Amino acid sequence: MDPFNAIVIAVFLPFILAWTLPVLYSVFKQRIGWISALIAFTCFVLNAQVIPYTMAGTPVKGSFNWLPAAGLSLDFYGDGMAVLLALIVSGVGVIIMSYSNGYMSTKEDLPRYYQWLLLFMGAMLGIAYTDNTIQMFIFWELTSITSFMLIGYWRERPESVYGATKAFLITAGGGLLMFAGFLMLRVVTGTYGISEVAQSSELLSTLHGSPLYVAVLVLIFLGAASKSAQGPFYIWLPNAMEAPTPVSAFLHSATMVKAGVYLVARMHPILSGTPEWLIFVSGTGMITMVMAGFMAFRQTDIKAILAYSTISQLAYLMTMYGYSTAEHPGLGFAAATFHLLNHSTFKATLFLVAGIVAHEATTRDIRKLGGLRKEMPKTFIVAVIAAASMAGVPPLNGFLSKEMFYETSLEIGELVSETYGGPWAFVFPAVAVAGGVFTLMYSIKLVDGIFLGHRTHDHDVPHHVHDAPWVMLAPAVFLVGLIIFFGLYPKFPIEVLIWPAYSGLVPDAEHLHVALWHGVTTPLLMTIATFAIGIVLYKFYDSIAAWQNSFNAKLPWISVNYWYDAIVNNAKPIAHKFAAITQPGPIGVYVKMTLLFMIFLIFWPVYKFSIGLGIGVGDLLPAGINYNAQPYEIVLYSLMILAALGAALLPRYLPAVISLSELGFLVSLLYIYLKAPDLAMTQVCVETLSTIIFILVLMKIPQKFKEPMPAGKVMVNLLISGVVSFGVLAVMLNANMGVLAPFETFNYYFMEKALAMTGGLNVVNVIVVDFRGYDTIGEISVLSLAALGVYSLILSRAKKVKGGKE
Amino acid sequence: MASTTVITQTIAKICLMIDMLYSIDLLLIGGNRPGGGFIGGVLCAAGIGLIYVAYGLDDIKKIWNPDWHMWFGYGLLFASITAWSPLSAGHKYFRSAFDFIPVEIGGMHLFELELVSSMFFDLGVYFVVVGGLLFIATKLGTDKGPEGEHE
Repeated sequence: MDPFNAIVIAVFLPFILAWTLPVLYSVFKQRIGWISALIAFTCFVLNAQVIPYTMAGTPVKGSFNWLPAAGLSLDFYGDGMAVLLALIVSGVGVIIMSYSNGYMSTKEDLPRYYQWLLLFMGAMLGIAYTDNTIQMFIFWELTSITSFMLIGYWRERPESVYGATKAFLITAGGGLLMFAGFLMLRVVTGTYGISEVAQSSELLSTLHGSPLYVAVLVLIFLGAASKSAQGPFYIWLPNAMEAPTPVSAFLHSATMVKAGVYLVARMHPILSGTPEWLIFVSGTGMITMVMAGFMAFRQTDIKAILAYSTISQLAYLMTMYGYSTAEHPGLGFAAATFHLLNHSTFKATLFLVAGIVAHEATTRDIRKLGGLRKEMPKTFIVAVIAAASMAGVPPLNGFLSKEMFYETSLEIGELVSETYGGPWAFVFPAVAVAGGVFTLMYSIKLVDGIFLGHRTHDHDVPHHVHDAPWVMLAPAVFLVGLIIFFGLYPKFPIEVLIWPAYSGLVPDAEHLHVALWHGVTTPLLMTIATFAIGIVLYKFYDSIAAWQNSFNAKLPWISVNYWYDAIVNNAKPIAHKFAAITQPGPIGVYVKMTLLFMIFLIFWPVYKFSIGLGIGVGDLLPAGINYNAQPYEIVLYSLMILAALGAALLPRYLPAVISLSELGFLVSLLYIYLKAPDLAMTQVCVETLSTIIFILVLMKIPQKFKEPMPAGKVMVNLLISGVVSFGVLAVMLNANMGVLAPFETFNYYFMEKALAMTGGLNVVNVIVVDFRGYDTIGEISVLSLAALGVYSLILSRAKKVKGGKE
Repeated sequence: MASTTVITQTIAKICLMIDMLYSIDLLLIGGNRPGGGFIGGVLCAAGIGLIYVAYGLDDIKKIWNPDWHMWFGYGLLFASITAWSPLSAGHKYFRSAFDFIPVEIGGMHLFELELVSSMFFDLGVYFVVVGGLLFIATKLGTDKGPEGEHE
């Protein structure tokens, strides 16, 4: 298949097929999980079609017209990096959707679950292949929205809602900052294209010389950091663990959180190579890496430990992508990309294990678990291998990329200290080792807490725990196979995936040589040191966790969550106060405000233009009004006045309403005299119907007298309505006399064209359904919305009444 | 529900027949004479609303209880499809067309049937109006407010 078509189909297939799931559900029932897995597999195969092209160094490129008027097109660009992410997304997608068949109860709302998973996958593939910042932003926010829906999948649980809201506020907010960065990039370079900027040395030097460079870098990086849970934005990821575990494995470890890292990689050729890049990207990464690794200690929920571990591991990636100097722009790029692939394999496996344990042992609390190795031997082996890979034990793939991390940390340390002096040659490797030590410690804790030691006899854990069913185990075993395979034969992933990605985005890429054994080198010594320190410190794991707990209890404001909650919780009362001022409640106030504003609109221009002309109020009415009226008109007008007075003055509701509709019918009679049958007919019908609705409402209201109004209020109301009436009268009379209408009417246009263009003789209706069809479709939409609005108002009132009684 | 007299009920029944026929007539002749989807829809809604009032909402619901919200949903969908459909023939959004088809029986020319594409749009409007108005009316009518519960 043509690789460009393959890319486009891979991106849009999930979007299109997601909507068929509810229909398919009625046929296939709970088997739609396998159908979604099949869709994901199709995407995987389509993505794999592009590999030969990226290996040959010829990225696939193409675009569609989208909004030509705005200079926007849909651009797709399949280079090594894009294919790598797309393969991870669709590959893990297949695994997760297969695994969900065992995890999700068949009683769940499965179409909704798989629908959002597929939409998410499509959005991620969109991010991978986009070559246009606007398009990137759209897919980016689509992943935020789908993630929101998936975290909040169990929407009746308040924790899920809290987690979903938090994740959405932070990632979508970060996305807006990123969008601002993209717009600035456009201002500087004059294009939305990503590869266009990256491949033009002229545009790049303009950008790097621009005063906006730092702003572009910071804004785009803030978007990436919020998505990848870096820096203070990490707080959403632990709460996002309220999602079903397969979702956590898919979105919050293997794919969505990688979007931020991917953006950094994508922007690497554009923005890297400056001290600012090193400071922001690597600096944030290093701090997050150490802090998140450390904070993992006090977590007791398996998924929470994994969440902090994910934050820390993503920080590894950020740190490595940040390793960049003007001479060596892509120093850590290859290592980071390799670790990105490896992290997806071992972290997804660990999440699957967490799901299996929670499913079989009914709890995820590490204090209640323990000693499960005998009852769940297969799961135990899988978990040990994945945790060992995360900790960097040879010969697994995690070891290889961690070695590369140590190696590049040494290199960047030397380069920085050569340029700026200082202890940097020591700091970079030391921080890297610290991150490695923490990773090792919580990896041991995971295995230790779940599988080793003795069974705790907690009543939450069933007496006898079974090993996982094959549906849930097979995906994990497959991933473990990849962990070992990539560890033993790194040549394969390096040549097929990593090298194309690396050489595609770093201009003078050095050849990669990855092997298990390099001889005794400094990185190897650092690894040995990591293991030694980690195992020694592991003895103090629980006391460190206890110290963290007491520290947090003493200083609650030190946590970012404290500030998040303070802001979000205070926003609500402030909004309430604002609403209380602008929307106080009684309809009378709104009507008064509307009428006062109408008075302003009518009289302000008159006042403005009549200054100095000596025009008085009396001159507002045009001269020469014809006061002669036919006798029937006089009768009609008197009746109308009577009816209006009745509506205003009658003391009971029903007579007042009848009086009001009487006025309406009289108006329609007037329309007939004025030869407007359309209007008259509509008026009659609408009046009938509104009377019916009024009576329906009145049946519910006690038939007592209207409450009397205080005299002052009556006077104010009279004054306002009097001025409005006079103003409307003046406008109508003037319009009729041609004073305020300097424009020629264009009804002749409709008169002439109606028959020829639409075949209709009734010009009024032809205008409604043909010439002004846009208006009509808007109006019927409004009508539908109004109906729904009325319904929800009634519902909310009914709820309030119920709630008040309880 | 307040009980109504037999006279009201009988008149409402007869009215409904005339009302529905007239409503459909208004919808169909809208292109050439006073009428159209909106007015036809309002008339239809008024006729059915009258029946609701005459016989009581709850009693009518036992016999016939359509989902009025589906009516305006489908009406909106239908109108949108009509608006979009010219694109499939390469025309612009909302482009309309019409044709006169001579109706003959045995070679004798009877009359010309006029087919107008905007008629379908008007049909969508009709359903939105009927569905929307009756949705509101029935919801208001069935609302069990605090007073309603005391009765």
